[in-house]
Amino acid sequence: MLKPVIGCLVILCMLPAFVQAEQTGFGLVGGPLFPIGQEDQESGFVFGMKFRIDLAGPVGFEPNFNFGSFGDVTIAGAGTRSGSDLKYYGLDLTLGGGFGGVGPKPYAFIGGGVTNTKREGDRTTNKSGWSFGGGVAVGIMKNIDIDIRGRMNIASSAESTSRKSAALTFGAVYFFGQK
Amino acid sequence: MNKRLYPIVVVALFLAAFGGCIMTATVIVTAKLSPNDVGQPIHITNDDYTGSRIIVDLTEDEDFDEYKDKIKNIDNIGFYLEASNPTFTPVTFQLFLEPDISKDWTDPEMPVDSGSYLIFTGVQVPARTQSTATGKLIVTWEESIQYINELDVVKEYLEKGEFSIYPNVVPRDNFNITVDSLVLIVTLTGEK
Repeated sequence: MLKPVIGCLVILCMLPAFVQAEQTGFGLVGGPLFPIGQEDQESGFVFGMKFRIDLAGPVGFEPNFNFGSFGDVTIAGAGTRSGSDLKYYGLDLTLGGGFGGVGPKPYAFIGGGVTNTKREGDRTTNKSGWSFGGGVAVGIMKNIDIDIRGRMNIASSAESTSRKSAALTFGAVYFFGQK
Repeated sequence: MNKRLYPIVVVALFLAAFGGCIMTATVIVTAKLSPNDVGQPIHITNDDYTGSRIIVDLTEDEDFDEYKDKIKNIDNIGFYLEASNPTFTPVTFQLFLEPDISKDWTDPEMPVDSGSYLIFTGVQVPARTQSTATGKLIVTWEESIQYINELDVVKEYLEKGEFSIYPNVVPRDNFNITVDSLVLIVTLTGEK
């Protein structure tokens, strides 16, 4: 219960930076979600929104909210179970990618947050999680990037175990303000 | 900061964040309990309860065998169940867990009287009707989860890998049930 509150407080503490940043982007993304080492989940979809905020030089950060679900799992002779529904509130630290401008801009990121997992028959959980990955922001206009990103998610689970997944998202980011 | 250090910083942060917790996997282990190895479904009546014992040996499952000494958590337990009732009286279906596989109950009151664990209850096998030869119950994997009792007990014996299960019904004084299909489905997480 405490972890989501701490996560929200961290994001709230970052809000002043939204205002002071020379340029801020807002993006919508979506794409397939793949379970890793989880036989009890199948591939699903994830969608998200994020702010992209210039911090210093090539470094920026992205408060983000993602939601999605894994696909149903079927076992021959035993039926089907629906996959988990996920909500993830996080903050990513990015390196590269740029803020606006035309052309391809590769980047890497690492972040943390809280994953809310809900599934029929299981207790709903809020667990801390980590993610990392990279992508390419392709500026098609001065203020618009097409964003292609691979994200590895690791959410802590019961008894010091973890649930891992990967997402490949596509989306667009619009930048406000001048750099 | 020198730009050449950025990738090193990212890798260092990654290692600090994820070290150790990445090496677990979640697998599904199943055990087909009925029909038995020779294709015979479990059939029990109030007069003939012999042959009701089902010995569960999860070590026959490759995944369980691989993870049995490295189980970190039993995530979920469920069953797939099909049962039929040729009588005109509906009955409540139950499953009892008996840790001691050397016991072999021959009367439907014995699992109750001996303190075996009631691990599954709450679903009704409907009675037959004038137009159907049997009443039929099907409980899917997902539906079954809500009927599991004594979850901690089940987890404890699942980790040991071997125990007995006895199908049973309420009322116990007049029944005739065939367990056409019973599959135990265990989701567990273990160290790789």
